[in-house]
Amino acid sequence: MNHAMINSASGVRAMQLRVDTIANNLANSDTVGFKSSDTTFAAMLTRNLNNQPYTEYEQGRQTPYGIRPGFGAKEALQVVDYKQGAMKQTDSPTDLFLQGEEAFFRVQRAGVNGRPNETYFTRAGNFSTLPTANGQLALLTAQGDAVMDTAGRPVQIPSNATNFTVNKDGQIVYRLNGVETQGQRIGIYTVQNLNILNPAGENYYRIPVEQIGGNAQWTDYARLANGGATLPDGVGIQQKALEASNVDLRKEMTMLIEAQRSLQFNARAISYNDQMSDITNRIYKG
Amino acid sequence: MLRGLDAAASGMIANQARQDALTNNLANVNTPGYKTDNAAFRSFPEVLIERIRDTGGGAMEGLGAKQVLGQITHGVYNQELVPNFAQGDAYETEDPLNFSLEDGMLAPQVIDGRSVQPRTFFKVQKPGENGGAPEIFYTRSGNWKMNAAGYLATPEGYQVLDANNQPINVRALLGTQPLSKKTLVVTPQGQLTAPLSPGSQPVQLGLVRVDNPALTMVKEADTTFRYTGAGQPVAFNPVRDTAVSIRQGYLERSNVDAGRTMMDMMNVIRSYEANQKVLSAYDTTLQKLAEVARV
Repeated sequence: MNHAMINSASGVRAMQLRVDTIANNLANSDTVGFKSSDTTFAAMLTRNLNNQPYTEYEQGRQTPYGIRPGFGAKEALQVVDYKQGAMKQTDSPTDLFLQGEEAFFRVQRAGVNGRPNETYFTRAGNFSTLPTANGQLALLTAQGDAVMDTAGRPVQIPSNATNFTVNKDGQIVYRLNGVETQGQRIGIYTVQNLNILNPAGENYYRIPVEQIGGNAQWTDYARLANGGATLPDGVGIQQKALEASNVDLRKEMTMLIEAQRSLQFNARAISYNDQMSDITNRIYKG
Repeated sequence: MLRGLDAAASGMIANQARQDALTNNLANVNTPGYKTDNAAFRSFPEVLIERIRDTGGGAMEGLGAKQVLGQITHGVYNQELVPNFAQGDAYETEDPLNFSLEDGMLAPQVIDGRSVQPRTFFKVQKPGENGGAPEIFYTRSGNWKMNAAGYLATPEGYQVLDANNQPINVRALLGTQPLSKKTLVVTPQGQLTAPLSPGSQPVQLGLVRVDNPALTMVKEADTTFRYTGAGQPVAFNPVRDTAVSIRQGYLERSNVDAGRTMMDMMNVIRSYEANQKVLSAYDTTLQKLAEVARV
């Protein structure tokens, strides 16, 4: 029935997870469009042991009978902080900064081995162009996945287009043979409930429709913001700029110290528990 | 037999139980809304010891009447774990769905001649086990999120209740607005409002006030408490409980004092060791006795 060791081990594990999260944040302190995350904890199972159910032995006791030891801590949530990162000016016309914390670019990753295409969302606007087979230039993310327009098609521009510009509402304008031409409009999607987004790595997020269950579609949770005439308040695209990582180094370092100390305390508790076991072993001297 | 043998062993067992509680506190040093458990020791009931066949210290002349020597206890046990409901500090998370309860200024109540500090709690609903009716639990941890169905929920998925014991539908409150601290505002009295969503009805967070939490609130899993007092806990009344305020974007830190806990652990180990030494001393005595008997 001694669970002191289990308690301390769960404490070490929980704190280790926070240290891991902080390390990931620090590693991405200069990643375009990166959102920092944090780990929060909850107390674990508490058991109700019925000790001494005889009222005559519980003289003067006022709390409800029984004894309720807890079994350590667990991680409760991995929360992503979607706060807007600072704007960083660049010279590349395909660098797009997305304004509004709830706004995302839609990205399509081609399914491999016959699987359907996957829809992801990202805030990293460090795009580039790549010539395609049909003489066009495709707008791709840094990972090489297609950026989608408002109608759900991959964004492409003619390869001989010049003066590539993107307006605030995502409308692409370029000059083709000396004539100003309107191209596709880059899709901006807003997600009302950022809590349901799942970080999918590489600065991508996805809506876990299979976890939500039912006939959930990602379109139930992400809405096209620039399909109509007006954009929602505070949402828009700024060309030739990027969103810096929103990791706050001072906050992360403070949290790291705190998490490390908590980890040390729990590790020390393990060593204390070991000492107690040693004392128990020394009862019998042979 | 040697009476102290059991007493020393019971001392070791009680100290082990205290160590269990201390390590649990330490593991939860970063758990929002966690309340420190204090172990309370109690000695076993006292027993009367008597000397039978008392000779009164004189010569062995027949058998005297039995004589009371006094009272003795046979050891100690860990009677109860009492949560300490002192307020933890609030820390900022900037999450629109994080709430901290501040009620340290509530007037103390006198119950059974003792002055106790009332505390307020949030109401959450856990689904019933094996298809039973859902049960209401109470928590100090306002670490919530909006689930896929749009309801306010704890990290474990339990729904947070409003003042009428109904789940809180954040999506209905927000309309088409995205969730942020601008679109969802909480008044210090716990009223959720959506200032940018015209026509939405404010929702009052379900809060209760418990006058004597240490004696009526029992710890359950996931940083929640079960109410074991008579009837239902009193609903929070903004007119009467003006000292209570709810802060959005903050969480209540665990009230575990790590330094104090480490010190208590050292105490426990030394006390455990002392009991072990007593036990060993008895062992030596018994060994000597065995040696004498061998002759």
